Amino acid sequence: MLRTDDARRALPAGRDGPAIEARGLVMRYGDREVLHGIDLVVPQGMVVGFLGPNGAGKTTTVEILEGYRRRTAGDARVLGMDPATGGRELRERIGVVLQETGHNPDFTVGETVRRFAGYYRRPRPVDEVVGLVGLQEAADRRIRALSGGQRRRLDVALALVGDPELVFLDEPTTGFDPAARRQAWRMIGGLRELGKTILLTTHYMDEAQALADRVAIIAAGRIVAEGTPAGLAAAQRGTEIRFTLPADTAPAELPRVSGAVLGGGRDVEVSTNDPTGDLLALTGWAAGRGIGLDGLTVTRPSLEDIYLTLTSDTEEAA
Amino acid sequence: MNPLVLAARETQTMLRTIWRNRSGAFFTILLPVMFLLLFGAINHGATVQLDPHRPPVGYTTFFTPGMLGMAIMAGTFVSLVISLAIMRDNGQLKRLRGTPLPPWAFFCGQVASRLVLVAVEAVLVLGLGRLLFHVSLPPSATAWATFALVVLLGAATFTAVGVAYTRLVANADSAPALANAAYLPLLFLSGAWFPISGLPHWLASVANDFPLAPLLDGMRQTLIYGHGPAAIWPDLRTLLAWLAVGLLVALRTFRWERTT
Repeated sequence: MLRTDDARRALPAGRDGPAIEARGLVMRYGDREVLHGIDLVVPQGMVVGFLGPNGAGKTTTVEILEGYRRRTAGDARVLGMDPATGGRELRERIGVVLQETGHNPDFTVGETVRRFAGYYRRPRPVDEVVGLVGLQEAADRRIRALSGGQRRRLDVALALVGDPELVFLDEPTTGFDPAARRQAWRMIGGLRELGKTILLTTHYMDEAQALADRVAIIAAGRIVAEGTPAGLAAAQRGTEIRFTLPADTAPAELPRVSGAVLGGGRDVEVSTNDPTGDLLALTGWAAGRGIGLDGLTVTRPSLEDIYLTLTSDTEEAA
Repeated sequence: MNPLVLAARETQTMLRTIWRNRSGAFFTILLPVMFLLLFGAINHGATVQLDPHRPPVGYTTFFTPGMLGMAIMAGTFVSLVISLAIMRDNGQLKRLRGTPLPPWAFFCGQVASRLVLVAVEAVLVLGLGRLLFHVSLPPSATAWATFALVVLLGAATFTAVGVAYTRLVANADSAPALANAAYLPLLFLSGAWFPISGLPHWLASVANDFPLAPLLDGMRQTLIYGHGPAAIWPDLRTLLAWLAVGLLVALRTFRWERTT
């Protein structure tokens, strides 16, 4: 199904620049400024997760890049073109999955995909696209009779049928049950193997963690963090070591560690950038004194922790 | 992609949509036919004084083009306002805007598919009127051509005006009510059902400024009296003006996305 030789042909040679490059995007509606200078780079062939709370400016940013809206200021290049004026040429080369989009309910899946295939110069074969999103069983069914998850997969099929180099996925799995989400993730993983560049807007941190090579977090119209999911987690907050001291040991007796020691009572929390060294110091100290550290856990912050920290900061600031 | 092929495919898609959802087509095709049979049977033998300088004409001869006018407005204006509002509300239009399909090809599909419906309707209504009520048909080739021109121009005008009108429609829920708010009063004021000679003069002249009255008059003049284009120039002029204004407003104000 996923033919890699096709993938190579789908990426024309000589386009080395990033698929998306936005600098200082500003969007104003009247005197209300909703984007205050967004910088966003999506390298070719990568899956970039675009995260942020509702109303942060995610959809506005994405719709500027898709060509639906004109930016007030700033610079944007999508596949080397200005999205505000790229027109038909740009739309030939991008695929867009919007949030909750309706279909013609009396058409079958196959007819709908075929109709959209007819809009492009070099469409992918209809059967292949229907198979790619796992709708081959439903190909002859009318859209009226499809489940919500099947309709969402049809949305993705319509975005892929033009064989785009760049795919915008706006919350592709909202409302999916866990099994359907895993299936959708496998499908998006398949797109990456086809060599597609993907800008994935999502609310789900686990989704970004599972799929994205890089993430950008937007809050209140600004990019507040950008990097690999793991890198972001490490840079923004240290690893946490937690344990409970025995009743006869005071926190003041703890050895010196490089991280910050939080919690005054017997429940100790150490936030550190050197988990190995600090853990050695703590466990060495405890073993030397013959005491146990009850409930000892070492946690790396998840993307979700980072996200909540960053977005709550800006909400307070705003 | 050849633009004409795209437009033809969109037309085919729209025709298939209409066919798949036949209950919607019922309103367009069968309602006027039912009224034709019903009122034709009730008023058979009655006459209407259409032109004070000419002998009265049979009611069915008067009424048949009226029902065709009703079908044209329902099949273009009303149907477009409602279906475009639905497609705008549920994001179908926005999705199409994100593809390389040129907007004019989309609208060609919308227009051409409805012109096909109007042509079917014209054959049906005129054929039944002729068969059952012996209504008069255009007496010459020129009159036939003029009649076809009036029908096509009327359909094109109501299509353009319908697309423009969607700008006033906030959402799909209010679309049927707003479409009917224009459609039903025009039907009665323009004399689709009854002669409007009884209307106060000012009201009749207001009605004559809207496109349905000249469409009906143009059809009747060519069907009944066999007039050519020169004789019905005032009708054609009003229709052309509405077509131009409708196109201009539609092009400048059409929205592909719902307003939130």
